[in-house]
Amino acid sequence: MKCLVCSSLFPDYMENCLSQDVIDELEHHFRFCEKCRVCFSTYRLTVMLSSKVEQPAAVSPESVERLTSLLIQRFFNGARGA
Amino acid sequence: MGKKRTERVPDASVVRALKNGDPHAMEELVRRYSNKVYNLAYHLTRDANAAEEIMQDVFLTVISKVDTLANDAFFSTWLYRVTTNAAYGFLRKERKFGDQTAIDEETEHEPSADYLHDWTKLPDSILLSEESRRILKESIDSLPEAMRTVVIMKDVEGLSNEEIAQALGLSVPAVKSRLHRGRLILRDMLSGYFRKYTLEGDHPA
Repeated sequence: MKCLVCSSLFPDYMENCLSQDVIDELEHHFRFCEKCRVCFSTYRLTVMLSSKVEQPAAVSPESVERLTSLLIQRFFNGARGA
Repeated sequence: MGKKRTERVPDASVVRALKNGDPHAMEELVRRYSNKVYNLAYHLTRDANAAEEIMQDVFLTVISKVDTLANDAFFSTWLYRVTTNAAYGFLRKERKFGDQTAIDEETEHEPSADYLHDWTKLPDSILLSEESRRILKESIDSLPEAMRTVVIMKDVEGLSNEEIAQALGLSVPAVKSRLHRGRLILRDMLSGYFRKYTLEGDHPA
């Protein structure tokens, strides 16, 4: 397996979307290619850090209530569900 | 639709109830998606006021046009598409839209010369420090817009490739290609940033 091919498989490897044959070939390549091994481990950590970089921005309950009231007013003539 | 949330009713059923004029259904969709719409809008625009306005406009649009939705199961991806378009509209107005250079989906990205620099053993206190997060956030923001949007939707918001493809009107391979290239660029940027720590010597894990 060439390094360029190996690198192109990172996303599917992370999502477990590769066939076992390809996984075996990829992991065999990792054993002998330090460049791809390091590239993949730092790639995977980059993805993990990206998932943590943002604090979840929660919309306030007041905003949700305001939005709901607006929609009820606009589309249901002010009649809320029970 | 008077059902309580003991088990989650599929979106398609809620949307069908909404089309039949059930206000409970509309409230349920707001409950399910207001945070997701707000978050996506906020992370794309980095503006809390804009995100709140976008959230309101998005729900006004989708509720008013819900009868035009052919497949009720695609409600969420439609919602994400309207949200992304609204965020783009805001960014265009504010002239914050980034590099629109066309992305060649087929070109492979060669890992940079930093490839042998392994920073994965650095401690969390460095990997997750305020400064590291700021660098990563700035790096994401500096990506070409086509990559940035996909990286935010996938790695920050946790949407699936299929949801992103439908929301952005792209093929799944195009989404994967943009995502992969964006991630490789971020990896290169982080490798450059973390080099100063790995050069300082070993850090306890």
